[in-house]
Amino acid sequence: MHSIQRIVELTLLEVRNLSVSFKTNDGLVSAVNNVSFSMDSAKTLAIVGESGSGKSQTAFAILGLLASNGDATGSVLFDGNEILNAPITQLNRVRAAEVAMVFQDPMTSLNPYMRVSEQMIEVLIHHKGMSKSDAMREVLALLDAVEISDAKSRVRQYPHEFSGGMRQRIMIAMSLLCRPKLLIADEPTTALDVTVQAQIMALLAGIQTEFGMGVILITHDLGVVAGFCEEVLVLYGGQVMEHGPVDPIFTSPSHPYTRGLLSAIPRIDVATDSLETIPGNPPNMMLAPKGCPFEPRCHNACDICAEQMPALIPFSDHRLRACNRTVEELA
Amino acid sequence: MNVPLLKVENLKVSFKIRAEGDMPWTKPRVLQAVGGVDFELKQGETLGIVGESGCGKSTLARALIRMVDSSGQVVWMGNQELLGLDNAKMMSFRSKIQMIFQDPLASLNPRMTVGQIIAEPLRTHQQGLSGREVKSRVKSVMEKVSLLPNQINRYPHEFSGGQCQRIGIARALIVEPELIICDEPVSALDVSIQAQVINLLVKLQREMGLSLIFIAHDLSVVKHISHRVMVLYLGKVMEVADRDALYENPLHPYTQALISAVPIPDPRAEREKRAIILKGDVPSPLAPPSGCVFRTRCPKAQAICAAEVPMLEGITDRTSHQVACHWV
Repeated sequence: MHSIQRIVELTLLEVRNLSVSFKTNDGLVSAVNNVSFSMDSAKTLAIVGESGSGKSQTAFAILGLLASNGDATGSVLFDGNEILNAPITQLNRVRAAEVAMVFQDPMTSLNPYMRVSEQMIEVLIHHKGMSKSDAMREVLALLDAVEISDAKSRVRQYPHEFSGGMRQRIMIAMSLLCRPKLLIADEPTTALDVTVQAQIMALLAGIQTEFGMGVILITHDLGVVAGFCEEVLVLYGGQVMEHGPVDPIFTSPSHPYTRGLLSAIPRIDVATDSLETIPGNPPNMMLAPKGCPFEPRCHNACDICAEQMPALIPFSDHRLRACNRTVEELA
Repeated sequence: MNVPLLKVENLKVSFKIRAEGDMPWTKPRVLQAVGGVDFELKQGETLGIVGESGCGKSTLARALIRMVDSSGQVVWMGNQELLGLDNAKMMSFRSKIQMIFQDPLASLNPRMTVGQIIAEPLRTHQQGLSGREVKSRVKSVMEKVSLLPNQINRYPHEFSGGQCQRIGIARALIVEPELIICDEPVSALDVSIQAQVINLLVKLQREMGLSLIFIAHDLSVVKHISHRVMVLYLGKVMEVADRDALYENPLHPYTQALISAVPIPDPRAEREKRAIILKGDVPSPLAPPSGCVFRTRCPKAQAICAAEVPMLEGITDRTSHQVACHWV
């Protein structure tokens, strides 16, 4: 009894059978299909996938941020409460206060007409009912925490007066204002240069331990994942291919897609003569495949793969995979 | 082959910038995008150019094909200076130097079919060809880049990003160039597609003896494809060396930081790695620091770095490895 209660307490986010589809003029596009995962508090989870794999839409669906033609089904439990398709008043209590999000492009996600101070204070006044001066003190403390020098005078500036890396720091500070339990970072460093990316990832790692919050990092960069995350969820064509702790996924990937992905990236620490490639192109989500979405590009595909999407099943310590072939069968 | 295909000396590009609200008589400010770059490119060699955004790598490429005005010298095959040529004379060199662009879809005309797009350089440079000859050349080059020749009448929007980049490569190849300048050719592509395009470029280079200038911000990709690598920062060359020398023994503090900042897709290696994290951002090229342009972020900077511009010099016993730093 005691142990069950403990597990319930630790699970921060539980996503069950999440599917996202969009109504378009050309028909229904299914972006996410039956994605399930759960995450404990203060953990770091990476959602990895290429463009169109549904990684961002999964995050948007969790926070109810889908475009108006989007529709999400399934269940998202945050701290035990259902938040998928929840009424807007309930969602607004969760957003920012419990779950915060950092977006890819810091310029388009900050309001260009408002001073940084105004848009940050607004969050605290709205969610915490703080007075202006208290809020300002908190804002300055967080800007210091994200290493913005001379925060006191710079906070009066507008977003365009900051560089890309600085703007991303401001976004991160803003997301931390209400001390959320979960931070969703959607490609936070994709628009940045490598040296700035290193700064931001070091900052995120420091803040994650300091504030003890869970982080979902959405990215296509496996290098960033390796350095930052404890768990990895690999998506392809809107489906989960593989899920497990970071080390075994990188050392012994169990899914043909993960294997292909890892051998397709040129590495700075290893010399390779020729890169392995995954033949073909990413799937067209308009024509959702009946079977496994990776089947047309898979070296190990067999007849059944085109017909039937394999279930995501556990196969070793904390690891799950969705493949019709066993690990031993993979070439 | 001792004569380099391309020898670039003291190449400079500057732009005049007028700030909003400036009066017509105020003197425009000068932004030096490329500040005196020297390098040599041998035949069949790939020169990788890396650097962060705003370091002048794309401007350098544009200057080489004279899309922007520049000063200095660009010598082709040891005897032909390109920058001083008039447009008519330059035309004959344009078919020898082709370019591949970053955004595969934006660099293709949406109203032209793939066949028309790929044939266009041929129609410009070899006007005597008959329609049938053009078509057969287009089809053979499409096969070379693994596009199906029966897709010749399709439009760019019908292709995926990776296929569009293949169309761009086919368009560059059709005039049988000797040098292809690739400006971030794979940075817009997904990992699995990126590997296909990189392998294609390497294969074509081997088959056709092409020289490549490969511009990218991704150091792993550059390492994979290049023979020599040049590191730019704020329009200046920080370090240039053979690929292995540069990646295994980087001498310039900027190169060291750049290489250590690249994330490695291996959790154990990545956790053990000690990344050098640079402070701050790249300064504005409108007001570059005095002396060494990197000194504001350099962990080794001393008084001399602000006072004197370090020369790009070969290190003792290996002249092919050149560094611009007072502390090497």
